[in-house]
Amino acid sequence: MSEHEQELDATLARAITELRREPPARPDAVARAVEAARAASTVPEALAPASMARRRRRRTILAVAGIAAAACVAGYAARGMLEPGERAAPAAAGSASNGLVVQAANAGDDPAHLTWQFVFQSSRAHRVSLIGDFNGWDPTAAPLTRAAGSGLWSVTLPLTPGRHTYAFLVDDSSFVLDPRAPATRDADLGSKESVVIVGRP
Amino acid sequence: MSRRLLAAALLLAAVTAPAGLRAQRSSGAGAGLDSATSEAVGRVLDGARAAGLPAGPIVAKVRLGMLRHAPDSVILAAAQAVAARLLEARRALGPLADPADLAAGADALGTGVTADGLRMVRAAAGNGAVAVPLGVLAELTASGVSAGRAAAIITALVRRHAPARELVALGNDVNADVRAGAVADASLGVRVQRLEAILTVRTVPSATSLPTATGTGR
Repeated sequence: MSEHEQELDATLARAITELRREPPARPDAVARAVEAARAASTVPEALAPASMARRRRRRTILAVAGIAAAACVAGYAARGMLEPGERAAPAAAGSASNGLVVQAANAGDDPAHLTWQFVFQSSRAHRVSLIGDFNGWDPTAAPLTRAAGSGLWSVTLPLTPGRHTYAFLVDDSSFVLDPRAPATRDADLGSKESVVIVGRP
Repeated sequence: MSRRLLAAALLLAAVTAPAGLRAQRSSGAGAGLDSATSEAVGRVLDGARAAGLPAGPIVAKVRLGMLRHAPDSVILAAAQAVAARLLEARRALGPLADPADLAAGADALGTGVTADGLRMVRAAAGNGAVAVPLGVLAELTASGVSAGRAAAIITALVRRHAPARELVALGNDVNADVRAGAVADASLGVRVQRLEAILTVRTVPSATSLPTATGTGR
């Protein structure tokens, strides 16, 4: 498989993962779906032949499903434009745009874990790993994937709710803090690590 | 000749593999330490397991120390400190605390939170998980908020059923204020007012006021 195909696969996999998250539907899309359902029920079924009623219900279901799918895609696109890395521009005090926004857990998620994405920016790195207390600071546990044509690296993994310390290991040697996150000093080693607090909404 | 070389290689592997496997089994984190330190770390881990404490945080600390190229003596001391904090956390949080809560408690103790602070949060949370409030408490204390005041406020918020997202936002906001130059205690006093307003609007069993200027310094 070519590098391009691998990148496409990674992108496609990420898209699938995002779609499975079922981001919230846009209000106008929901309103259209509700209106479509309401319009479909205005003609009493008793006055229509059974076959026509069935066809009408089928069309209504298809229309609602299509609008819901479009809303999901729109929600995914909106989420894609608001990745944590991009949200992590210099934050105004009191805002939630410092890369530590609580992400909603879906009903299908493991209730003991929340899905979390880490983003690192470097156009010169060859390998980037996420290391933290959640993976025992193991450099092999969570390698980041570089987005094609950009210097953005990312990895998504499940985290237990609570406070976590972490860093990025670049090219197997450089210990780099997350510029988008606050830092803390390790109580025992004196070293600095980045901090994220994960909480269920 | 090649068969002799292959046999020699297999024999060598058979002799050295058990030692390597033993080192891995003992801690999974001792590779790279000198033998004495590795043995000592193994004893710390064995002691923690025997006491029913999670070994994960200890192993993680050792690995972090090695990644940071800390001296072996510092790594060993760090492992011992984590084990001690896990034990203290269990005493404060109770014998039914799960590994995540114990790890959060040990982490909080490491930032300056007291055992009394852990007990207060545990009492307020009842049978609920405490990893998130303890994580926020740890972050507030690490940001410079006095330990007693931070514990009192987090306890009051937990008692008033503050949502996890609001607790997390409080910790993040205070941290951001401190990074921007604010005094931590002052920031907490301001930021908690928003939560006060939110919780006052909600229907909660007991709408007691949040403490504003209590607690002792670290």
